[in-house]
Amino acid sequence: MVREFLKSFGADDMIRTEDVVQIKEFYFTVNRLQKELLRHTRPVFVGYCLGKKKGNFFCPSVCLLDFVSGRYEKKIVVDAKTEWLFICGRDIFNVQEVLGNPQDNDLVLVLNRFKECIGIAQYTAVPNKKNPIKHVYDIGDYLRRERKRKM
Amino acid sequence: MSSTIFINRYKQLGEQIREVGLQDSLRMNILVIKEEELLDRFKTLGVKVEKIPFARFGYWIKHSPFSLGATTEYLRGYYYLQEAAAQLPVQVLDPLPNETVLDMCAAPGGKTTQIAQAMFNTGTLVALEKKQHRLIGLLTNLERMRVRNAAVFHMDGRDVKQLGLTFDRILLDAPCSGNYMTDRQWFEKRTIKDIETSAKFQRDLLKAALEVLKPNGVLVYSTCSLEPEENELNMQWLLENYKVQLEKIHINIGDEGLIDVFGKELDASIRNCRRFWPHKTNTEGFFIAKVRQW
Repeated sequence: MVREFLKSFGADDMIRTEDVVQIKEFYFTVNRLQKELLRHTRPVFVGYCLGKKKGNFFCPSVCLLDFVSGRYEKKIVVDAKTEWLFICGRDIFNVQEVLGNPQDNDLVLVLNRFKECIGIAQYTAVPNKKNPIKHVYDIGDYLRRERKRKM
Repeated sequence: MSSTIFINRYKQLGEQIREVGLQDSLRMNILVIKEEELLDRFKTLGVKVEKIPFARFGYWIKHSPFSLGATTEYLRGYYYLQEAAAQLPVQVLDPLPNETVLDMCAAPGGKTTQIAQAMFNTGTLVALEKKQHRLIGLLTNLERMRVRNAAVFHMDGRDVKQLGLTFDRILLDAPCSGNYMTDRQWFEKRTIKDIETSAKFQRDLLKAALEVLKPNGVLVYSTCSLEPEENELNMQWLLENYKVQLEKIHINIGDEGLIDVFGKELDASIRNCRRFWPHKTNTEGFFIAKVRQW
């Protein structure tokens, strides 16, 4: 699942398969010390979290998003208002800057005005109400997990 | 009434408590963003913060136009919302890069992420959490704060020996009866029996911690309780039963640990601990002890 995700961003050579471990719905990369620990113990979290599986979808960690952002060129930059709406799970209608020449339906990384990655969307060149830049994933997922836990 | 009992106990310990307002605070994650850069960002966003003089990366939140628990900066792990006194146990523990460190009661992860930060994400940080429902928050915080050196186990701290590991440093931020600053109903809810039950559980955890602490290793014990049974009296029990010493804590806040508790004279080294009375420190109630095993 991690490989498929990385492949869609042209970054599948970034992580060695033998370093990836899955624990329940979470994926991690582990170093030598952590591999040794895994030989005789059963942690629920270990090493560098790559993300988690939610049904058939892979939710990348903020670390992995930054990792991919260093490699993948197709990006859009949004203003502060759109940034927050996107983090709340909304589609995008207003783009400040388009980078890497994405085509319609391409996946794009969504950056805020500080050029920090806040999630993933599906691009369309002329967004409108019927055909927006579709929200795919955003880092507000951390808040939603917490809310779900408290409910 | 319960409040009278507790307030009288505090009087016997020499303190006349009064209500103070708690200030919100945060700790910056310098592994992800430079302190000055985040301060600039806050300024742009209209957030006013002020350095906490006694907490290394801590800031009081003086004003914010929105909740700081729901910002892009928060979600990207630039800071952790953490009470000022709660930032100190890890500062006292002083974990170093490449060590093997244990956080015995880890959720929701404020101190765990702080330990990882102090270790620069190197070495091995083992975090334990007994309660399943508290694990989700812990794992989310570790992921959000970009912790890379941790291994989390769903287990009771009392069973830590089963892991077959030993540690250079251990943080035991023990489950406790709490204090009236963080829970408005505290006086109505608590009884002396609760305090005693809590103290017994804490001793079991202390015992388990010492079994996996390396010789000359450091154990930091902390609680957010003001009750001597969970603090100084537990340290007295530790000194009487184990080869340990209490080291002086060099922080410029809080009082010395009490050595005269309800007519009982305790070991003089218990003065080396720090006790935070909210009306004196403007923080929540807290107690910290630094224990070194011979």
